[in-house]
Parts: sequence; structure tokens; C-alpha cells
Amino acid sequence: MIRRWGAAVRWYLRALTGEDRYDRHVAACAADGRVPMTRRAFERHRTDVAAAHAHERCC
Amino acid sequence: MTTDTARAVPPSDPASRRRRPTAKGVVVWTLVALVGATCWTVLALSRGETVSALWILFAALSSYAIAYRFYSTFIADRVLRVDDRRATPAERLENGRDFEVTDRRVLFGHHFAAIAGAGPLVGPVLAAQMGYLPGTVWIIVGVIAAGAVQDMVVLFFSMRRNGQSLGQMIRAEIGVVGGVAALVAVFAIMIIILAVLALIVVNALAESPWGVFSIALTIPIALFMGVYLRVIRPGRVLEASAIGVVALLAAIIGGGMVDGTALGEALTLDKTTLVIALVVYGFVASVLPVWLLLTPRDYLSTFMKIGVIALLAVGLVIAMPVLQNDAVSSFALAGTGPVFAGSLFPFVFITIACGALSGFHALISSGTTPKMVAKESQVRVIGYGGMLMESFVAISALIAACILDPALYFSMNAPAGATGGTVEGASAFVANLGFSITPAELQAAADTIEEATLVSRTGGAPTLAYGISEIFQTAFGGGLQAFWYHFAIMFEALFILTAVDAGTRVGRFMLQDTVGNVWKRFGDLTWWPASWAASAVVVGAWGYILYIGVTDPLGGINQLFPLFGIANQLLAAIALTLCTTLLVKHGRLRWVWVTGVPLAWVLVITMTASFQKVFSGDPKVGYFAQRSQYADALARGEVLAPATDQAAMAQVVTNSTVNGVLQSVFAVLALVVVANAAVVCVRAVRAGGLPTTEVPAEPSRIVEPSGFFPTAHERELLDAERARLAAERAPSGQQ
Repeated sequence: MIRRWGAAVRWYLRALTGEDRYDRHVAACAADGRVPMTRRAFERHRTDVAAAHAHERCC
Repeated sequence: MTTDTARAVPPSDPASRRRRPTAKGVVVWTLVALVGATCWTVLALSRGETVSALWILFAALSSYAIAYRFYSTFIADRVLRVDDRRATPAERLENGRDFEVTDRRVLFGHHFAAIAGAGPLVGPVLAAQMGYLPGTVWIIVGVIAAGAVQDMVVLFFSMRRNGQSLGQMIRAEIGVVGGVAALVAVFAIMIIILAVLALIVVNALAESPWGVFSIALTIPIALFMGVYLRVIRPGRVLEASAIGVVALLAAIIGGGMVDGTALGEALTLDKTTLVIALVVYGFVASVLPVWLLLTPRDYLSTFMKIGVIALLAVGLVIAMPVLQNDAVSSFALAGTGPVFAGSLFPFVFITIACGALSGFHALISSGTTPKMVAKESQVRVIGYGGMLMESFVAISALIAACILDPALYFSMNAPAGATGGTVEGASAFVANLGFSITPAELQAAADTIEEATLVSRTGGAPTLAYGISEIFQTAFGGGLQAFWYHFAIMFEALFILTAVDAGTRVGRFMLQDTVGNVWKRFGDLTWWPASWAASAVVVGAWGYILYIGVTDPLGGINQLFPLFGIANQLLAAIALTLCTTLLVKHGRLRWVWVTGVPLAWVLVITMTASFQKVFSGDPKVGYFAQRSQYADALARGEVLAPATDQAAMAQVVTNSTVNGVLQSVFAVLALVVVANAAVVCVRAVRAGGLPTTEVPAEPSRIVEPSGFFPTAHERELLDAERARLAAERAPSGQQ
């Protein structure tokens, strides 16, 4: 029970912060038979894309 | 709308979701309604006796539950007619960048983190001057009937238009005049909001070495996290955040030790120094790469946000504090309160914007969030549900302010011009208001949280932090009140600095985009001369207003906060105008009251407030009356209290002129949008509806529940729909 809740919280936080993006990239590449980017290159690409978007935060 | 009625009934069809109520459902919702009715009755009838804060908390929770369950469903199904057979832009245009199908629970978190900041924490604290009841009623009724409706409807309409921004939609659906007015209004309102938020931080950190120390350390902590995520262990956000949160707590504890040391003296900064520091910081943060400062700071801010809200809810239930102020204070009708001038109507509705109705949310509900929604029906949980959550934060903040002794509350929130900034002065001042606290008691209160003084610590943040520290002290014990106070100051400042970073960048993007229309190169976000120039303009604009607020002899918060509230509500008026126009154009005249009534209400309050702020003959309320009072005295060579010399007099004249002009400009801009929309609405009513820029329907191929927790009935329908899609896909896959 506690383990299940712990796993759920971890899943949620990883998804919320985007930490799971790389895993999803690897999975997507595996499905299409492509070679995934390295994690370093992937994260760098992701943050550079994010930089081009306004990042809205309200009051 | 979809006319395809011959098809098998899919899960989103309102008719299939609307089914006979179960016995269990009837019992549960009757109980919720009874709890709510009991709480409201207690709040309405209790006068002059001790009232527990939990009545407010549970009145809010049960009202939210009922509104979410019934009203938001009604809006989704009948008014907007959400249709899960239609693919959302996230599905149709998925590109892995801005368009991306996102789990509803994760998107809820993103959306909530984007809409909720310091606003819902501060407004209710200031509005506590009117008593606990006006704020409670407005926060709860306002969010249910107006704020959450606005967020959800804007989200829906933007989603149906591929995530267009508010400005783009107004231009396309209302007209160029309205569009330009809205663009200018959005930019100007954002500047005011940033300035007032920054003012709150300055007021909270001035002369507080503990606060300055721990907030300053958030910068190296964020930089370290940025480098960690970019270089050391790319993408391990949870690790980096855990390190960051631990370092943050260490920074708060460490701050307690700098007091009395040489470092502590060096960090005892006055307000003007802090303004310069914030302006420089805002500029640097806007031009630095986002991965270095903004993104990691945002992770910290989000985790703190979730943690504190959960802690506060638990703390309130354990501590069960009692409300100390009156239900409706004597200032509510007289309008002579020291925290902000003006009577209950319209100023409670202006002071509490975030948490009840916040126009700024329309910028987030259009633009970012709609590009990530998986299914149309999820606008209910994300738009309506997200705003209810923010409202809950506002209610908690209101409670934290109302459990304080009113004498202490007014000592902290009256401007320095009234209290003289001393415990003796404050004690005498609140005695005039009819409350009593001795100078020694005031000093003792400051000592418990290890601050030099609590007198005239305006802006709301210190009051909230003090209230929270009392709640946590009662709930968890341990003699940690000083820690909790600085913990609360830290998280408020963290939210605000995140909003200031992000807002400055958004403003910079808007400016570059607008100028880019005439001078193409300036619109290039990577061309540094343009981004530096645009950042400098944005920072300069809010920095100037911040400076005005900080140096205002009459007290910056009570001068500027109404401007902030009115600006935010005028933006809500603009957003609700768009929603109402779209309902008319879509031919939903029957349901136009859903956004029309909140629109009428917000126009009444903002126009009344604007009118009073511009034309009132009372110099405490009207900016121009204030201006002439001080200008005339200055011409006669007199000095009016609380100004102490000619320079301060001249400052009041300048400030009230700037405030008055801004106020008038905002109101006129909003009226231009409304007038333009009225023309369009009349045309649409005559024609029985008009074409809109809604993107044509395309069938959806994904299946997702609409709410947080799918019901058993919904699960069955979802399984059936999944099977149908799989069957459809199978033969085409073999060809």
C-alpha cells in the first residue's frame, strides 16, 4: 500500500517536472527503431527549446 | 456543432454521462450540502462570540465541492458543449514542444503552479481590515460564479482555436480596435502587477537581515541547481530539487544566526537599496539563459508552493484557531481604514482579486495550457478545478490574517506615516481605532519572531507570515515560531521573485514581438541588443513604479494596491467580454448569463472603483483630489502630514498624478474593448449568430477520463471507446 502510494507520488513528481521526458523519448525511439539521443544532448535540446517560449507565471 | 447523431453514443456525449443519480450519490451530496449550509449559517449568525476558523474552511470546501460537481458540469455540457469526440490541438498538432498531449493530473499541476503565486496570499490579508465575513463571501461566491468560470471558459475557447492568446482572440473575434486596446492593457497591467509584487517583497525584506540572507541565498542555490541539471547530472530534476529544498531550509535556519553579526549589519538594507537590487536582479534574470536561473527557481517555487499549502491545511485543522476580528468591521461602511481607503463596496472586490477572480489567469488559460489538454472535457478539472484550488489558498490566507489580534494587525498594516514607525506610536494609533495593545506587547510580538519591529510592516506578507507562524506554532509546537515566520516570508518572496523573473521575460517577449512588426530584427529573441533593450524597458517601467511605491510618504501599499486590484479586475472584464461575445456569436444566447453576469458585476465594481479613484473629492480615495490637496498646500508653502518636508510633498503630487493617469488609462482601455464587443454582439444577435475562428472538428483517436478519478460508469464507457478505436485502427493497419 505504502509502496504503491510512493510509486504514484514519484510518478507524479517526475511527470510534473519533466524528468520522465527522456524515458519517454527512449521508449518512443525503441518503438520506431531509432537511436535515442544521449540524455545530456536531449536535456540540452529540451531546455533550449523552452528558452524560446515565454514562461508565464501569475501573481 | 457536431450533428453526427447517428453514431453509437460515445463516452463524452452529455446525454450518456447524465444518468439517474445513484442512492449513494444522493446521500453523499446531501451531506455535503448540509455541512455547507451549517457552516454558512454559523458564519452568518455569529456576532460578538468566538467563532472557529474551521467554519470558514469547511464552508469553503463544501461550497467548492458542490459548485465543481454541479455548476462546472453544467457549464461544460450545456453552455460550452464540450465534445470528447473532437481532437484537441494537443492531439492534432502534437510537436513535442508546446503542443503536447499531457496527463490531466500533470497539466493540473502545471496550470495551478502557473496561476497561483503571492496574489491569493496578499489580497485577503489586506481585505481582513473589513472583517472576516466580506472577504469570505467574496472569495467563495466570486470563485464559483466568476473566477473559475472565466478560467474554464477562456481555456475552452482558446483550445478550440489552437491555443490562441487572449489578445489574438480579441483581435480576431471582436476587432482591431479592441485587439490593440487589449494588447496595450495587458502590457500595462503586467507592469503594475510586477511593481506591486516587487513592492511586497521590498516591504517584507526591508531592515530584516534574516529575510535578506535567506532570499539572497536562493540565487546561488538556483544557480547550482541549474548547473547540476545542465552539466553534472542532466535532467535529474527530483535529485536537484531535493538538494535545493534542503539547502533552502538550511538557508532559513542559517539566517537566524546572522542577526547581530557584521554580516547581519551589512544585510540590513533600506527599501531604496532593495529596489535597486531587485531591478538589477530582474534585468539579469531576464537576459540570462533560462536553464541557469529561471527553470531551477521555478522547480523550487513549485515544490514550496505544494508543500506549504498542504502544511497550512493540516496546520489549520490541528490548531483550530479562533477568529479574532469582527465579522464586519467598522471600516467596512465608513471607508476610513488605514490599510486601504474606501468602503466595502467596491474595494473588497478590488483588493481580493486573485483567489476570487483574476484577469491575469486569462493569459495562462489562453496560450500555454490549452495546447496541452488531452480531452475537451478536461477543461473542467483544469480550468475550474485549478481556480478552486487557488481560492482555497486565498481562504487559508484570510484565516491566517483574521486569527491575529486586530490591534497587532493594524499596527503592522497601518502606513509608517500613521504610526511613526515606533511601538509607542503604533500603540497610540490603534488606540484611536478602538483597539488596545501596549508598546511592550508589540515589542514582545516582534521578539518572538526575532525581527526588530512589526510596526508598519505593510504589504500583507509579514502579516500572513506572522499568522502562519502562530498557526504552525500551535499545531506543531517546538518553539519554532521565528523559523516558521521566516519560512513563510521566504516562500512568499520565492513566489514573487519567480513571478518577477517570468513576468519580465513575458513582457520582454511581448515588446520584442510588437516592435518586431515594424522592425523585423528587433523581434529576434536571440539577438542580444534587442533582448537587452527590451528587458531594460520592462524592468525600467516596473522599477519606476516600484520606486514610486517605496518612497511614497502616504504608504506605497495603500496607494498602489487598489491600482493593482483594479488593473487585474479590468483584465478579467476584458476576458469575460471575450467569453460573452463568443457565446453570443456561437448563438448560445440562452446561456449568455453564465459569463454575462460576472462581466456585469466586474464592470460595476471596477468602474465604480475607477470612478472613485479618479473623481472622488475625498483626498484619501481620489488620486486627483489628493494631488490638488498637496499641490495647493505646496504652493502655499505648507507641509501636510504625513509628509515631513517640501520634497515629500512634491513626491505625493507626482505619485498621485502618475497613479491617477494610469488608473484612467486602464479604465478607458477596458471600456474600448467592451464597446467594440457590444457592437459585435448586437450584430451577432441580429444575425442569429456569426461565424467564429473556431477550428473545424476532427475526430479524436485517444481516450482519457475527464475528471481526476474516473467513475466506474466512465471506465466502462472508456473501455468500450478504446475497443472501438482499436477495431477501427486494426483493418486500416493491414492495408
